Amino acid sequence: MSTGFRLFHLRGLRLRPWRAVVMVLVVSTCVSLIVATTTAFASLGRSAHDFARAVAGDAPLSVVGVSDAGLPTSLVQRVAGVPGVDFAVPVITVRVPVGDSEAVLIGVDASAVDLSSALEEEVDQVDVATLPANGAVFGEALATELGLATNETVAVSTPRGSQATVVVSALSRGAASAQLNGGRFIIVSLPFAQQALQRPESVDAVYIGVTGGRSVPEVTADLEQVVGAQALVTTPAHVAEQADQATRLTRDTSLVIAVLALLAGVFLIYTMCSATVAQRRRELLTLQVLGARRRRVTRGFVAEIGLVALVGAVSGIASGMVTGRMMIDMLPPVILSAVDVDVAYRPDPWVVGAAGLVGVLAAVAAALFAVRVDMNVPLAQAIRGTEEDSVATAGRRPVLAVAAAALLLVGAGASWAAGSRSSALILLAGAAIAALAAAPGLLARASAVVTSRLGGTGELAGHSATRHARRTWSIIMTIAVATAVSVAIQGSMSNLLTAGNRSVASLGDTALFVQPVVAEGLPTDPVFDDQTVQGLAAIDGVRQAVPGQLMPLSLDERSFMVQGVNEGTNTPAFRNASGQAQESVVSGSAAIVSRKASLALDVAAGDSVTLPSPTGPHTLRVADVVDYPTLNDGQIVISLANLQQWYARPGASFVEILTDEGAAVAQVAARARDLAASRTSATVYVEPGQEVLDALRSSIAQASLLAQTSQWMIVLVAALGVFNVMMMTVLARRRELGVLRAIGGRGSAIRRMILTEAAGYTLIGLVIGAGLGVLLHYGANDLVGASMALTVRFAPVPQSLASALLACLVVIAGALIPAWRASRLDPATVLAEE
Amino acid sequence: MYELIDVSKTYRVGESDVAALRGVDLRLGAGEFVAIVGPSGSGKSTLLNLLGLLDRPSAGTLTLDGVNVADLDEKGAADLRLRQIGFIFQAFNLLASLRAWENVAVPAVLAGRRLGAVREQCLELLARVGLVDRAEHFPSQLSGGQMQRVAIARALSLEPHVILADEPTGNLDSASGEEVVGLLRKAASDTGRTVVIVTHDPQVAAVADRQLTLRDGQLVNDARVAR
Repeated sequence: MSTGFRLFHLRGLRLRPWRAVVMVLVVSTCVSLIVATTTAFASLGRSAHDFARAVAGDAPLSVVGVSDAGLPTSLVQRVAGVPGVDFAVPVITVRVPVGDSEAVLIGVDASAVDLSSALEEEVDQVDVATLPANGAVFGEALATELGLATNETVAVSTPRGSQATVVVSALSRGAASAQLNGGRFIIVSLPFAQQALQRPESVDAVYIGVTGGRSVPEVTADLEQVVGAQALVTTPAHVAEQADQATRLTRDTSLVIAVLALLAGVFLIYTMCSATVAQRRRELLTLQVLGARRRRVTRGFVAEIGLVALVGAVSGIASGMVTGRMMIDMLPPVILSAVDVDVAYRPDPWVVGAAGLVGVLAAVAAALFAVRVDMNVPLAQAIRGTEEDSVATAGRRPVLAVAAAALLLVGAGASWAAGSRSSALILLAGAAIAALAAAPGLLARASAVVTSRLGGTGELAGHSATRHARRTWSIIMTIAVATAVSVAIQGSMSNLLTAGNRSVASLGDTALFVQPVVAEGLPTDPVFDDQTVQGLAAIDGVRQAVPGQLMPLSLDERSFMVQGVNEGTNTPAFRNASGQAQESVVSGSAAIVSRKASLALDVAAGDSVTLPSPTGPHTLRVADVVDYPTLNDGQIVISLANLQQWYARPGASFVEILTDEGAAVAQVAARARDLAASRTSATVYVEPGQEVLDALRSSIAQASLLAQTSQWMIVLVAALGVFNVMMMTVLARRRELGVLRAIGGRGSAIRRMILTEAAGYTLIGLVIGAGLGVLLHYGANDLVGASMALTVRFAPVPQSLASALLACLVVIAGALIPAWRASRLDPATVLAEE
Repeated sequence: MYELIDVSKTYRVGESDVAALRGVDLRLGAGEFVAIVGPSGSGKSTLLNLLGLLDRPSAGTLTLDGVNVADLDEKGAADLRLRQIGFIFQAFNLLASLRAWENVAVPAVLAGRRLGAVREQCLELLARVGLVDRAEHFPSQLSGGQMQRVAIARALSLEPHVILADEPTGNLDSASGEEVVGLLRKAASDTGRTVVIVTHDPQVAAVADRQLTLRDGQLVNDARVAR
C-alpha cells in the first residue's frame, strides 16, 4: 500500500469514521441480501443434487415415474433389454417418518453394486440379498438420533398410512454414509420396500448405465420408445431439477428484490460519495495544486471507497451466510416439501465471492462516477477555497446524465411499443431519475421555494439549499429513492396478496379438512381409504364428506400438481372455474388448469391436454383456465376417479367435511380425528377451513416478506445516508452557523433551521418518490403477475402512502442528530477556527 | 524564470466574456521577491493562477524556465508544479488528518518518497520556521500563524525554484503576518528563489523588492521598491 494512499486517503477515514461506517453498512446490507437469498435457495437444490449423486453416481440416465406412483416393475426388464444398456438398477426412495424423526427409505436389490456411488458402497458392504426380510441398514446419524443398536426394531410409517417394522441389521459408518442424506437413511431390500409402501408392482426410478459403443442420445431414444407415456426418460438429476423448479419462483423473486436493494444501495453510495467529494473537494484539489496528477487523486479516492466497500462486502458475506442458514429453517413447508431430503446449508463459494465482488464493484463504480462528475472544477478554486456548488454552477447539465435519460426514454418507448408495459414503466422511472440527476439546480431551487414557505428559519434554510445544490440533490434523491421503493413494494405486494387471497377464498367455505399434514402443508399421500371417508360422512352433523387427492406429476420435464376432485369440493382451483367446467371435470371428461399451467403447457380453454401415467396417456379437454397461485408449473384439476384409476392411487389424501347448519363443529372435528386416526398410522390433522385458508394466505404473504424486509432495510440505509450527508452539511457550515449564533440566533432556532431544511428536502423527495413509486408499482404488478400467472390488478393502496410517510419520517430522523449538534455549536470556538 | 508575452485571460461568465487579464508583458527572474497588488477584481489571482500553471492563458505566451506552458498537458503541468513551484494559500489548505510534519512531507510523498525517509528533513524545515516543537500537532491544534508557517515549510519541501503566495497574511494577525512575510523574505534572499506574493496589504507589499500593480486586468505599474 503506497505511502500516498495511506496518508491522503486512509488517514481521512480515521478522521471521519462514521462516514466509513455508514458506507460499510450500506454495502454490507446489499451484499448480505444477495448472499442470503442465493445461498438459501441454492442449498435446497444442492441438497437434492447431492442426494441424487450419492444414489445414482455416474449413471447418465434414469427412467422415473411421472407421478409418485412410480413406474411399473415390468418396465425394468424391458429397459434392461435395450441395446447399449450396461446396467438397469431399480430403486425406491421415499421420505418416511420413523420414530420421532424423518429419514429417507431406500429400497434396492443386488444390482445396486453396478452403481458407482455412495449407495453402491453401502450395498457393497452389506449384501442386501442376505438381509432378513425386514432387515435394514441404518445410517449412523439416524441410528444415533433414535438411540438404535444392531438387532433392535423400529416402526416406519408410510405415505399410504400404514406402518412397517424394520430390524437394524447393520449400522453404516464412514464418508459414504454421510453423503446419503447426511447419514439419515434406511436401506432395505426392494421387495420389502414395495410391500411396506403397498406398491408391489412399482419402483420410483431405474438408473441406467450405457455401454457397447452406443451413445447416450441413441439409448435415450430407444428407452423412450419402450416406456412410452408410462414413464419419463431423463437424468438422475431430474428430481433435483424439479426441486429447483419448485423453488425457482420464490428464489427469483427474492433475488430480484436483492438486486433492487443493490441498485438502491449503489445510488445511496453515489450520493454519499458525491457529498464526500463536495466536502473534501478543497483537500483533493489542494493535492492537485501541490503537484499530484488528477488521475492519482481520483484513483486514490476510488480505492478508498473500494477498501471501505471491501470491509462491507466481507461483513455482508458473513451476515448473509448466517441469514441464509436461518432462511432455510424459516421456509414454508410447501417449499421444503419439494425437496424430499434433509436440506443442508451449502453455500457455493463462487456465488458468495461473486456477490461480494458485485458489492465492491458497484461501490467503486458509484465512487468513480461521483468523483469524475463532482471533481470537474477548475484547480484555481482550490487556492481560494470557494464553494463550487452553487446553483449557478450546478446548472451545468452533466452530459452523462442527460444521455442516460435520453437512452432510457427511448428504451421505454420501444418497450411500450413492443407491448411490455412493465418494462416501459420501469425504464420511464429510470429516465426520470437520470433527468433529475442532470438538474441538481432545479431541485435546489424547488427546495428553497418550499422551505421559504415554512417561516423565517425556512428562508435561511432555502439559501443553504441553493448554495449547496449537489448536497441538496443528494439528500432529496435519497429520500425519493426510499419513498419510491416503499410505495412500489408496498403497493405491488399488497395487490399481489389481494389477487392471491381472492383466488383461494373458497377454502373458507369448508368446515373442516381432514389430512395427514398441518394446515401449511400439501396433503399428497392418499392415507384415507373409502371406508374412512364413509365413516366421516356418517358422523352426526356432517352434511357431506368430500374426498380429494393431490399428486405431483412430471409432464414435459416440468412439475405440476394434479388435483383429483369430487362434487361438493370447495378447493379453489375447482371453484374458480365456471359451473359448466366444474360439471365436465366431475363427470371425468375434462380438466381445469391454472393460468400458470396453461402458459407452461401452451393450452387454452377448449384445447386438449394429455397426461402421462403408469396406465398410459390420457387426454382431456381443457374446460377452463383459472387464477390459482402455485410454486411449481401449475395446477391441473381432474376427477378423483380418473386420478385413482390412472395412477393406481386408491383413497384420498384429504377429506373435506361440510357440516349441517348449526352443527357443533368442534365435536364433529373431535369425532373425525378419532375415526380417521383409528384407520391410518399416519398422524391425522383436522383443521378448520378458515385455518387452512389463513395458512395458505400466510404462505402467499411470506413470499412478500422478503420484499417488505428489503424495503425497510433500504429505508434504514437511506436514513443512514441522510444522516451522513446532513452531518457533513453541518460540519461544512460550522462557520456560518457559528456566525448565526454569534449574532443572536438561539440554539433552538438553529435546530429548527436544520430540521426545516430537512423537512423541505423530505417534502420534495416525497413528491418525486411517490410519483416514481406509482410508476414502479404499476410495472412491478405486471412482472409479479406474469411470474405467478395471476391477474394482479393495479390499485393504489392506503398502506403505500402510509409506508411512504413512515419511510420519510425514518429518513428525516437521520437529520435529528445533525440538527442537535448544530444547535450546540459554541460560536466563540467556531469563529476562532479556520 | 518566468516570461509572459502579451498574455491575456478571458473567462466566460454566463452569457458574456470577462477579460481578467489583458496583454500582460512580464519577466520575473531568479531570487526576486515580487508583490502583486491592485484593487479587487484587478486580475491578481488570475495572474497568480497562470504563474502556478493552474490555468492557461487565452492568448499570448507564458514560459517557465524556457518551457512554454501551452505545450504541457495535465500531467506535465502537475509534475512541473510539484518540482518547481511551492504554493502558500490564504486559507492555509493543510490536510486536517495529517500532523504538522506530515503536512510538510506531502510534496515529497507525492514525488515518491517514503514518509519515514523524509521525516528528518521535515523537522528541519519546521525548525527553520520555528515550529519544530509543534511537529506532532494536527492543524486543528495550531493557530492561524502556526498553520501558515507549516504551509511555508511545505512549500519549501522540494526546494522549488518558485514560491507563489496568495494573500498569505490575509487570515493572520499583524504579528503573525510579519513573521510569515519575514520567512518568505528569507526564502527569497537566502536561497535565490523567486517569491511572488499577491496582497492588498501595503505593509506586506512594502517588503517586496518589486511591485506589480494591476488594474482592470492590465499591468499598469512595474516598479522597484525603494528602501
